[in-house]
Amino acid sequence: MANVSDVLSHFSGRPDRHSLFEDAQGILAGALIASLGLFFMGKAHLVTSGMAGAAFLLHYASGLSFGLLFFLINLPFYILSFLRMGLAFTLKSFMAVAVTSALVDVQSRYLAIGDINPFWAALIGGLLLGFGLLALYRHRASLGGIGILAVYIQDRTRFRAGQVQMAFDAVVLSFAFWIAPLPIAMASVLGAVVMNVFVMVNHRSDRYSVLR
Amino acid sequence: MDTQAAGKTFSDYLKSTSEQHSVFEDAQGVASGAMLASLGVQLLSAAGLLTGGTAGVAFLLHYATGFSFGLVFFAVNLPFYYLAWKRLGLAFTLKTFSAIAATSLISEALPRVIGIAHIDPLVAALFGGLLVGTAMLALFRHRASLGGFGVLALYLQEKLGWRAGFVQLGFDCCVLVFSFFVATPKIILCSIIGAVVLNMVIAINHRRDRYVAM
Repeated sequence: MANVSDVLSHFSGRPDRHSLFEDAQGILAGALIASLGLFFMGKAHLVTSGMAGAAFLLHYASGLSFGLLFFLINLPFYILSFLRMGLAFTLKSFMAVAVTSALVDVQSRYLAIGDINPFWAALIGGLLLGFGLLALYRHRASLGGIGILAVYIQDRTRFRAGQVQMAFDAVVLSFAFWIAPLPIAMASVLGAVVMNVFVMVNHRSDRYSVLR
Repeated sequence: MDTQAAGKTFSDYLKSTSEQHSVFEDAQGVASGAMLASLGVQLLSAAGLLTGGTAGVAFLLHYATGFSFGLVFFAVNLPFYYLAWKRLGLAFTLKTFSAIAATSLISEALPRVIGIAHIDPLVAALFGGLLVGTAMLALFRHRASLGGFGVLALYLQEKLGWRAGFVQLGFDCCVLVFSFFVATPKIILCSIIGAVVLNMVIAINHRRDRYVAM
């Protein structure tokens, strides 16, 4: 008769490797948490950094749903991702983006927000997005294409990946100052800083050491 | 001032290595964990849900008496710090106190700045459980916690030989029994789903062999 630890071993992988089940729950949890963060940001009409920031700008400009736009603008990057990061990373990122996009769009059917303070929305939203991304990174997945494009550009030109990413974020966030009132734009910057600092401090492969 | 506690100099606490969190890293970990837990509590509370542990006791008292969750949660955890200090040391106790104090304060403030007009109880259970579970994962990885039952269970295991896991299960069953006085069966079912999600997040992801820093 199988005992409890035999059954559990199918679900919990070796120390140096995530099982399929562990990756699935990591990506689902990361996408759920990130989608809640993006939902709060959207309710306060904020912008953020990266592809999500670009999707917010297009969403406010066109009126199309955030989820649809976020899903669509990430599509071109999967080719690059497949060439540079391999099939597993690309499939996991595709799943993460798909689940996040769908959830942000349906969230308002189950969760109605009343008044929301933009600075708190930025703080909580940035933190949630940071937690979501950290979970995805630790399971070798991501939430969008700018990082991959930045690495690609670093290989082809004299620009560094970090510079490309910062330049992109600077452009996206300066649009916020153009289209939104000053407090909203400043809250957007706060949210982007919270998210990026959180990921920077906590994403360390010397501490979380699972290889795949 | 004794900066040589536990054989460490003051500058050791500022150092960040693979095996050692710096004071700043612990502070941001505890603050982020408390913030995430507070949001989870807000989602559970907005749907009238309950949970396990001392947070569950705090929810029961909050719904039964009308006192705010933050105040009750802070108060019910007070007796456990002495045990925590005796058994798990000063650093763990201070970080746990900070996490609980911050969670109490932020969960008071959040409903005023992020108003939830309506939330489906099942969605509240899923997201609330996920958020509180993730928050506790962050706190555990920074050697802190969010409540006293675990500490008491460990103490009883040592003194009386009761298995800590069963003691904790017993506490949570008591919370569940009392919850029938303040909640409908549907709310209780959703609460159990939320508690399962919370504990699954921790059971699957809290592994010392993967996250190595102290």
